This record gives sequence, structure tokens and C-alpha cells, in this order.
Amino acid sequence: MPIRHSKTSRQRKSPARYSVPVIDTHAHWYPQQFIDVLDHEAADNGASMSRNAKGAPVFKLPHIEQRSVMPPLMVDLDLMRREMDKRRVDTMLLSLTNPMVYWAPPAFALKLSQTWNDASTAAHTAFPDRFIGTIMLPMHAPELAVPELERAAKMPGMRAVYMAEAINGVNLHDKSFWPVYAKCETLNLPIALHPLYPCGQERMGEFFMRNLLGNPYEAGIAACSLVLGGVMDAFPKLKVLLPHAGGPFPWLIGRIDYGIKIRAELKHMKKPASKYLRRFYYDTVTHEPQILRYLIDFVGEDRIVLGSDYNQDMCDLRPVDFVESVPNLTQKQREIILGANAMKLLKVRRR
Amino acid sequence: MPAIDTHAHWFPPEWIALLHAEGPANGAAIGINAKGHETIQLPGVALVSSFPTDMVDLDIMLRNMNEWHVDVRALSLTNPMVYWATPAFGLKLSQAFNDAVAAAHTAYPDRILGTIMLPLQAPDLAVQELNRASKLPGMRAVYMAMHVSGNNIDHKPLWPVYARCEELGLPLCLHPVNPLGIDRMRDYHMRNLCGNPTEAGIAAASLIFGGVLDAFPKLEVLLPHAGGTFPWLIGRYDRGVEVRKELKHMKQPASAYLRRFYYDTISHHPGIMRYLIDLVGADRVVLGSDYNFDVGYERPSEWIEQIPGLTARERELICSENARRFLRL
Repeated sequence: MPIRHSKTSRQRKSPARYSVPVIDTHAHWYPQQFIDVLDHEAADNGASMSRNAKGAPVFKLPHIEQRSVMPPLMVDLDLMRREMDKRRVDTMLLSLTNPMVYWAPPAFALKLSQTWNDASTAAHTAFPDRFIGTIMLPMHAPELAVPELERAAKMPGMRAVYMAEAINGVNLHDKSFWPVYAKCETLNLPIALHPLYPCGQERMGEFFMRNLLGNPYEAGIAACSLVLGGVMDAFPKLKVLLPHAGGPFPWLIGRIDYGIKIRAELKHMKKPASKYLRRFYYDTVTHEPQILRYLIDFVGEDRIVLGSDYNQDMCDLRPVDFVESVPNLTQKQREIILGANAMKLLKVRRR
Repeated sequence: MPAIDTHAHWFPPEWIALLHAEGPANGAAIGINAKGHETIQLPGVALVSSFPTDMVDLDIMLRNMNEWHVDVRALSLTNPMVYWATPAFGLKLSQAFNDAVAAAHTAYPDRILGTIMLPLQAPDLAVQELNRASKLPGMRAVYMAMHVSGNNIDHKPLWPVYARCEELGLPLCLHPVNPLGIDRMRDYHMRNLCGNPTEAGIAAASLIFGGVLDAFPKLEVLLPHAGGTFPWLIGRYDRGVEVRKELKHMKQPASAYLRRFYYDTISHHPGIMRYLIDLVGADRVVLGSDYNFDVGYERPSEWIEQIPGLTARERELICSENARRFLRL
């Protein structure tokens, strides 16, 4: 079905009701405590903090062009809850986003991770039905990451581990990360991935390509790295959520399978990459109902979870309406995607 | 209904001889690999190229076409192309390829078509060579990489080449070379498996957002590897057009350009090929084999039979009719 450019299909007269909580798995938050720590210590650790014209904090690394702006809608939980109501979202899985913590020296990265994790569990405690948390870890210092994972996993509402799709340029199959994966598997905590400073920026300086192409590409590289690098085999119970609907990963799967058939670099693979498609979860951040329809057909509706990318400018402002605009979804399939899958994955109880 | 393969690579012996004779003086290091094939390492080109006999010897290639049930092939050079060379040597290498492929067409007019190689690192020389080569027999398209020495293909110096292509009614066949992000792609052949299809995504975005397709409304462009990542990220491109100041110059969504491109069949997945056909239309898809790389297809016209629900009409379009329109046969 060719893409239609009319937006009318996304408008409804009266919003549908669902028997499950609507859970947004891709939502970003900068806790005030995290901003405070950056304000005090970023400069001593090689970064800078300033304020933009609207007074929002801005984080900047000297060697990276992308700035991290932290507007009130991504800081203030009261504002966020109001937005959630408008956007028909019951519960958010909160995560940090850029700059994350891997830029910082290990000790400071640990402090930033702890600050995030403590704030995140406090948000859950204050609003247990509205917010659940992801655990930030100093992955570039795995000996610090594992103890922080053990600590944070015991805190209320921490339901996933959050991780960039490469850690300071190192792909996720690197052996240094395996103790973290082992611990995630033991603790039955899924990993929620996210891009950070995508590769290939030398060719993506214009037209916002860094985000439009670079971010989803990171999901493709991360999935390949986890599959081809043996992580998914070594940790058979590890669950991984790919943002941006898996980026190009599902659509390149034929090429990756063919590579496994013929290439010496992949002769260690015991099965095709397509056998791992259903090891991943995929959020709904495609911005095109027809493409999401293909993805649902391709990997199964039981692998798709709602995501909005709150509240970047690329964010889907009406994520529930978006899912409702996917052609030929049954009410049951909508509930699976909007809430039921995430309830299982993130251990959310029915209210 | 002749089966037309739009994505097949050839290293003419004359081209290799020239590289041999004058390459070393231009920074090329020539060696021999474990299989006894000649290799060449070029300045600024990450991949070591080799020239296996089945991509050099035209008789072998014609026998292969019979075996794979390919009636007509549009031949193109591939990595290392010519952009690494000085403008003068790049021109000479382009001329050598173009003359050789025109001669191959003359020898086998029903079987072989040519694509024109150009020294795009020197656009003035490229236009000059385009004017010359377009008059040679059997030259049906212009072949170009999805970046030229690190510049995306909306780079303004390339526009005179696009203008001339449009005037001459010659379509563009794109191809990856040295994909971006190489530092993260060293393991598991990811450079090829992920990197090459991503190049198609960047090339399509550059042509759309950079205004090339608007400036040259009659320019036809073929994306290899079934368009790579491009069609699947189209919603994200559209969202970017809606909200980002970097794209406020755009007059229509990126998805309005999906049908400005042709796409070859090199997706290696019949189910995904079905989605692509549904998304862009069966009239935008052409056969490709990637002859004779290991990631290519054998028997491309038979492979498409696996596409779910392929109709007789779709088969006709994809095997032959679309390529005939695209290459103006």
C-alpha cells in the first residue's frame, strides 16, 4: 500500500479505551539532581554546562558537536505527567539520553549513574503507576558497572538496564561488557538500548542526517554486534529492546543471513541471523504506520512495544494515535503493543 | 521478455593494464593474493581490490549469463572506481573503462550494455568525458559512487554532471564504495552487510534533501541493494521534514520521492522484497545480481519467483520492462 500523505487517518472522534496501561518505553528524563551534579562538576571533568536563551541547561563536550538541551518538559515530573495525560500515556519507562555518562572519568561516571538511578527510583516511589526506571551504568568501567547494577536493581521500580548502542566507539559484543550482560540475565533485567553520538558523522553533518539516519543505523549495528558477536548465544535469556523500531536491522536481515552462509568472518555462526529477530523487542518509533505494519507482520506483534521518544523534537506527540493508525490492527493487537508486551517485559502489574 | 541484470561488475583487461602501467606512479601498490589474483591497494581506499578472472574475462561472463538465464547485462566498474586518482589519471582510467565497455557492446550488442564511469573528483573533466562517452555505442547509464572522496552526492560541484545526464536522458546507477563509519564495522564483515546498504540511505537522503531531485526533475536514479536502509526509514525522514529547521526548505515530504528512484532486487529476502514492491510499486524494481561478488545472487530472474504473491505482470516488470524503460532500450 503506498504511503498516503493525509493526516486525517490519524484523527479519531473519541479516543479508544484499553484494558491495559499504555506504557511508553522510549521516554527521556533529565532529573534535576542529575543537572545539579553536572552544574557543579561537569567543568572539572572536561565538559561544560550553560543555559540557553530560554534558561534551559545545555551540556556540551569539547570534541562533540551535539549539545544536550534539558528543557522543563524533560525535567519536571509534574509537567511530564500532564503531557502523558494529553498524549494518552499511562506509564513511562524513564531513561536518560545524551550525554549519558561514558564521557566522564569512571569515578564521576559512577556518581552520575548513581544520581540518575536514585532519582529514577524516587520518581517511581512518588508516582508508582506513572513512572518506572531504567538503570544507568558506567559501562566503560565494567568493574564499577556491575556493583552499581547490583545496588540499583534492588531499588523500587527499576525495570531495565539502559545502555548506549556503542560505548565510546566500542561495539556491544566487546568482551569487557559481558559481566554486565551476565548480571542482567541473572537479575532478569532487560536491556533497553539507545543511540549516542552515531558513527559516520563525517558524512551526516547536513540535513539532520546525524539523527534521521545515524540514530537508527546505531540500532542496526548494535543488533548485528550482539547477534554476530555471540552475546545473544552466551546469554540465552537476555532480553534486548531496540529503539527506533530496530532501525535497519530487520530490513537488512536477508543480507546478514546471506553473509553468514558465505563469509569466513561469520563461519562461527550456528544459525542465521533471522533466527534472532524474535530475540529482540522493537519500539514503535517508525513515524510511518505502513512500515510499522510490515514490522509487525515480520517479527510478530508480541515483539513490539510502544515508544514515543519523549520529548525530543523527533518525538511522536500522539504515540497511541499513531499505533491506532496502523492498517488492520485488531483491538487485541493494539493492546498487546500499547501495554501488554511491556507489562511482561518490564514486570508492570495491572492496576 | 529478456531478463536484464542492472547490477553486474566488470574489470576490463585494458583497464587493469592501464592501472598496472601507471598505477604505481599514482600511489597504487600492486600485489598477489592467496588465490593468485592480483590485488591493488590504492591511496585512501580501505578495501584491497582484486580482479578475479570471472570479472575480467568476457567469455566467462557470457557463459555465466547463459547459465544464470540473464539475457542482458549492464556492466559497471566497482570498487576501487577512479576517484582516488589524480584528475588526469582518473580521466584516463574512466576513458579506458568506457572504451572497453563500448567495445564489449559492439561485440555482443544483444547481451552487453555499458555504464559510463566518470572522474567525478574533477567535475569539468567528468562532463567532458560524459559528452564523449555518451556517443559511444551501448552506453545506457552513468555509474557513480554514493559519495565522491567523502563528499555526499548533493555536493554542488557535481550538479553540472547531473544537468548533463538529464539533458542526455542518461539515468544514474549508484553504488557504494568505502562506506562510512568504518571504525565500527571491522568485525563480522559488517562493513559490507550493514555499511553498503546504509550508503544507499545516505545517497537517497542527500539527493532528496540536497535538492538534486528537485533541480533535475527528469533525472532517473537506481539505488542498489534494494535501496538499502532508505525505504524503511522514510517515516523518520518525513518527521524530520515536519519538525527540523535544517529541512525547512523541503516543499514535500521525503516519502513523495520514494517513486523517483528505481531499486534493484538485491535484498536477499523475498518477504522484504514483497514489502518493498508494495511500498514503492512493482514498476520501480529492476533485477540485479551483484555479479560476481560473494554477496551477489545467482540466477536473479529465478530468485524473484520466491517473492510471495508475485504476479505474472510483476515478474514481467521486474525482469525486463522496468529496466528497458530505465535504460531507454
